[in-house]
Amino acid sequence: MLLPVIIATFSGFLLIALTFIVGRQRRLADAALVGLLIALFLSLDMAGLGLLERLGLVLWQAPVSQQLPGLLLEVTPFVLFFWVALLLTGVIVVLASRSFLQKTDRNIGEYYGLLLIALVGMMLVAASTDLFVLYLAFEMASLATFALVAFRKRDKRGTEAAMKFFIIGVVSSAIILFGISLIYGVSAHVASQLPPQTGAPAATDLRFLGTTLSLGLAQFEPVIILAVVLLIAGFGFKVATVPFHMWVPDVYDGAPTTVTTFLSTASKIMGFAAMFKIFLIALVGTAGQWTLALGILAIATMTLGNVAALPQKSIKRMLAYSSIAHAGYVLIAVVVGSHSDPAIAAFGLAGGLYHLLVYVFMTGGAFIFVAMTATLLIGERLDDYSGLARRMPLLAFAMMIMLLSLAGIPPLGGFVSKFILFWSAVQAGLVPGSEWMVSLAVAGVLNSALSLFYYARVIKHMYILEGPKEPVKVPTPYSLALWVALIGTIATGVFAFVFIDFVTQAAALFFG
Amino acid sequence: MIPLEWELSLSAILFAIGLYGILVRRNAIIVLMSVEIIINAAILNFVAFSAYTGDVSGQVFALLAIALAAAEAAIGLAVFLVLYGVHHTVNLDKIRILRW
Repeated sequence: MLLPVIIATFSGFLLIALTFIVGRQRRLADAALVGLLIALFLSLDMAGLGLLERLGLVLWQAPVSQQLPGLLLEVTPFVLFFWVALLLTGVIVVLASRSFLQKTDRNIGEYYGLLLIALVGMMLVAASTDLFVLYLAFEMASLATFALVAFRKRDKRGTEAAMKFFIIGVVSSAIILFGISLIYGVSAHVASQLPPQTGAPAATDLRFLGTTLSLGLAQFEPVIILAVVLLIAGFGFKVATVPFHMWVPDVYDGAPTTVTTFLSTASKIMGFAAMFKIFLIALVGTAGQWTLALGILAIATMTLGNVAALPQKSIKRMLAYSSIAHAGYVLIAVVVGSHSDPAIAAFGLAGGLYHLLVYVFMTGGAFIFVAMTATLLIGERLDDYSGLARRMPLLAFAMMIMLLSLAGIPPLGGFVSKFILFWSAVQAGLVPGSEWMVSLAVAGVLNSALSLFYYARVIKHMYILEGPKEPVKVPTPYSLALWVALIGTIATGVFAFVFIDFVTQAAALFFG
Repeated sequence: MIPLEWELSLSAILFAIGLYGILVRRNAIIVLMSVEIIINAAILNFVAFSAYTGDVSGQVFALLAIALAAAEAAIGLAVFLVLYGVHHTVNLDKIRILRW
């Protein structure tokens, strides 16, 4: 069942070793791509494609839903969804890196190796059933990304970004660890009071934590609240919610752009996978203590992200703030997912999952476009994009589609996912006791309208303003990565029903 | 046996010292040391809770967390070394090419 993870791990280490044999960067990228595509195919097959089964190779019954208790892992549709999203990110980033990395760049094998190892850590975060395993996998991914940001060792901006990212990253993980230690204390104490039985789960099993924490809530309320505050702060740093977002524009701006793409998509997806698991399974019994706080954070995050993106002249910085705003939208799913009505909770979570999938394509694609213009020496500022539609008609069109999807224009993927998210918040608001959740939907809609302003400004520069006219030749890997992102953005909107079926089922099983 | 409150107080004090160091000190290496102090506070919590409830998984995780702290320090020092090579300082206030 863990075949995709095993293949990704194996190819990650193989790539580091291959550096000494294969001199050419492009060959290493191809090797990484092969590993990722095999893992992606296997994950899709497990998620319900069932192609191997039809070919007579029965490894599993699709869709796979299985616990692996000895490893403290599970493979369920929820997990497979995250695997597919993460591996897709990996494919897009590796394709773009193939052209982004220059001849002068060194240690290319380590670059791809670290990328794959980070992906493995992220996949294990999604698959973990135990708080300790989740934390270890989380750290595995974080440590690999710290090194990735510092990849260009002679670059002043890159090293500064790496320093900021590292300090923020270790502080947040230390805070999370302290929060986990408090939760462990409460859970272990409550578990030791329960009548002893054989085969009882460990005190840190996520589902068992849901029971022990709600039993211990009356006695240990202050401790649990302190732990929740620490966890919100720690994960807030990771997914960049508002009071903890200051590092994002600097790090995203300074890091090599393909690494920025990886951070803004894969790293954020991992943060949300961990948040869904911890807040919606382990801490769900104590939901009364934190839903309102997270709701306020969600509204503040989307508003500040969008307002701060308005005056930006650098496209990379603008997209960084836009990714903060999108973290705010997905936070709605964490809030609605804690709702007492299981149908509404599953619907909200499905919206969050779907938004993360669409987000991979649209934000990933937009960052790749910026990486491409930087490689082609066009530049990363808004003014550099003037008249770009004449110079690369097809790719400028792809960028326009992705920007419109980010703003939430139908019939693109961004519209569908935002619609499900906001609609779930409205439904939650119709239930007495959680009326305030409507404000999440209102804030989301207003913010989407606001965000259209700065997305449309880029389109105006590309299509209406005059600029240099000579056409440019775009390297094929960039075009391929952008085409994958474009097809994904459109397909998640037009063929939404296929994906929605899957995510609703995954969300329902997640709570079940 | 030392009461649990004493150990928790010690770990709370360590946490506060670490947080103070992160917020106030501007030398990157001292900030890294402060982070390690917070991690040690959490490790102390794990061991204390584990000893008082008889659940051994906390002690196992404490060992893993120590290994993790070492890995973090290794990556951090590598990043700071590269930083020093390019910027010739590890003072966090003096490195500001990227503006807010």
